[in-house]
Amino acid sequence: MLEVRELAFAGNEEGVSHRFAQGSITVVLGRNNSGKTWLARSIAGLEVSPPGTIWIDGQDVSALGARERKVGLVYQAFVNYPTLNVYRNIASPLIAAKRSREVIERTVRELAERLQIDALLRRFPDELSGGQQQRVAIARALAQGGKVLVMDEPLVNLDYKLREELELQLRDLLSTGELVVVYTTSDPKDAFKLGDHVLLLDDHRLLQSGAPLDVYRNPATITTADLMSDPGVNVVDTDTGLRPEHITLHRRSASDLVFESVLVGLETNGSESFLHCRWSEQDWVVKLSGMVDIALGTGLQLFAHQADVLRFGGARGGD
Amino acid sequence: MIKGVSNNRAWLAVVPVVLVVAFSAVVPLMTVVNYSVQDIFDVDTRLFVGLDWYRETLRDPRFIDALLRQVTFSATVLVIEVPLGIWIARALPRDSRATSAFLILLAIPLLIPWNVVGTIWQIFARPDIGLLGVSVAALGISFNYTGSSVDAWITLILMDIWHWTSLVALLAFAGLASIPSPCYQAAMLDGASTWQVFRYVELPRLKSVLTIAVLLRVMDSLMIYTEPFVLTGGGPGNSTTFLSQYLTSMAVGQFDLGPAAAFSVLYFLLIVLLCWLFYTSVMRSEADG
Repeated sequence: MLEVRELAFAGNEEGVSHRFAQGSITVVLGRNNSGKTWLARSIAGLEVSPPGTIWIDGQDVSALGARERKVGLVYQAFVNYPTLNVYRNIASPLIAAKRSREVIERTVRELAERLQIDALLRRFPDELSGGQQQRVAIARALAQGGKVLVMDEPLVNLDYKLREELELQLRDLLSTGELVVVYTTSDPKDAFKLGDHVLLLDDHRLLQSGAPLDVYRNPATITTADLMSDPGVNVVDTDTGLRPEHITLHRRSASDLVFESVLVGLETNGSESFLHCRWSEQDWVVKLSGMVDIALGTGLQLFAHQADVLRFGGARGGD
Repeated sequence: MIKGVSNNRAWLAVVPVVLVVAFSAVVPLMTVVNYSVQDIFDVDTRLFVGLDWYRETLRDPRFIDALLRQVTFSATVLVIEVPLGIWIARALPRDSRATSAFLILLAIPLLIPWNVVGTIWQIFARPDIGLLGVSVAALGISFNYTGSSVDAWITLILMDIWHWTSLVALLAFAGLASIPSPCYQAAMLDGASTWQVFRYVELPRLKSVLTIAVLLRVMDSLMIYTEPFVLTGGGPGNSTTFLSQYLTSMAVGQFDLGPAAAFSVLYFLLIVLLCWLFYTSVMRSEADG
C-alpha cells in the first residue's frame, strides 16, 4: 500500500494526501502543469525532499533515495538501454541487484510473457515499435520487484490505434493483486478505462478523489467537472453546470429544462457531432451521436433533465 | 533515339565547382604525384624514374624512424586525451552558471595560435626560467627537454594534452547535454552503478560525437608540425622529428623535390588509410549493434 501525507508543492500551503489501495490502479488526472509529473516524481523519490511524507507498506520512505525505494517508473518517452537487447534490458535491475541467474531468467521470461514481448527478447530497442519499446520499459520497471509502479503519461507518444490497444491490455497486465499503480494522464477517458480510483489535480493541489463514476456524477467544483469531461462542462451559472452529453434537441420529459440558443459552430467526426451554441452570453457545446445537418445561425431549443444538472459547492466525493 | 542536347547544357552549371575543386585539390595533388616519379635537376632537366623514389623513401631508415615516432605519439595522445576529455565532460557542472565559465576556460587552449602554444610551452618548461621546469627542478628531478629525449617527449605530450583535450571534452559535453534526463533517472531507479550509467546510458549516445572527436584527433596528431618545431625543433638529435618535420627538411632544406613528393604522397595515403580504417571499424560495430 502507498500513502502520501501532506505532500506540498513549493509555495503551496495545502498538501496532497491520499491513500493508494493495494491491487488498484489510480489515475491521476490533471492538465499540463497541474502537478501530475511532480506527484509521480515525488513518489519515485526524484524530487528533492518535498515537504510531507510518503509511506509504502506502513514504512516512511520519504528519507530514502530513489534507488532504495523500489518504485518502478515508466516515462512518456520510451527509455531503454540502446546497446542491450530486450532480455538484458528487462534483466538490468535484477543484474544490478545481483540476483542469481535462475531468478533473473525466470523473472524476465515471466514478465516478457505477461507483456507479450517474449518473442522479442533477442531484439534491440531500436528494432521495436513504440508500443513494444514501452512494454519493455514497463517490464523493466516491474522487474525491480517493487510494489509501486508509477506511469507518467506512458502512452502519450504512441499513435492513436496503438494507444487504444495497449490501454485495453494495461488493466489486465497490471492487476496482479499486490501492485499499486499510479497512472497520470490528461485524458478523462483513461480514468474510466483504467482507473479504480481517480485523483484530480490542479495547481499541485488535490481537487477531488474517488471512483471515476462517482467523481463524474458528483463533481465538487466546476474545475473537477471540467477535468472529467471531454469536451468541457457548460456553465449555467456560478454553481450549476451541464455536461455536453446530457443536452438534447428534443424534449424527453415534461419537467425538462429549456434553453433558447443559437448555433454558432458545428464539428462532426461521423459517429459524433459537437454543436457549439451560444446561450445567454455563454459558449456551450452539445454532444450528439451521429451526423447533424443544421445551418449555422439557426435558433435551437436545448433540453436537459433536471437530474442531470450538476450542482457544485456540495461535499467532496468519498474515496 | 532520344536527343540529349538540352541535357548536356546542365553540365555548365557544375563547371564552376569542378574548376574550384580542380585548382584547389586535384591540380596541386597531381603536381606532387608528377614530381614523385621524376628526378628534377633544374626546370628543363628532369628524368622519369618511375617508382624509385617511393622505394627509396620506404627503405629510408630516417623515414621509418619518423613514422614509428609519429604513430607512437599519435597513439599516446589519443589514449590519454579521449578518456581524459570524457572524464572532464562528465565532471563539468550542467545547467548552472558555472557551466559557461568552465566552457570558456576549456576553449582557451583551442583559441591560441599553434606556434604560440609551442612558444608558451617552450618557456613554461625551461629549467632556468619556466614555471614547470623550475618547479620540477625544485623537486630535485633533473628535467631538461633540450638535452634529454625522454624529457622532450614528456613535454611534447603534456603540451598536446593541454592543447587538445578541450576539443574532446567540449564535443563530449555537447553529446552528454543531449541525453534526456529520464534516461539517467531510469538507470538510477534500476540501481545502476556509476560505471553502468556511463557504459549503458552515456557511451551509446556519445558514440557519434566521440567518433568525430577521435577522427579529428587522429588526423591532427598525424599532421603535427608547428608545436614541436617551435618547442624542440625536432631534437634533441632526431628524437622528436615527426613525419611532417622530416618532410619539410627534405623539401625545403635540401630541395630533394622528387623524394619529398613521393614522401608527401605516402604521408597523405597513410592519413587517409588510418582514418578510413578507424571510421569503417566504428561503422561496422554500429551495424552489429
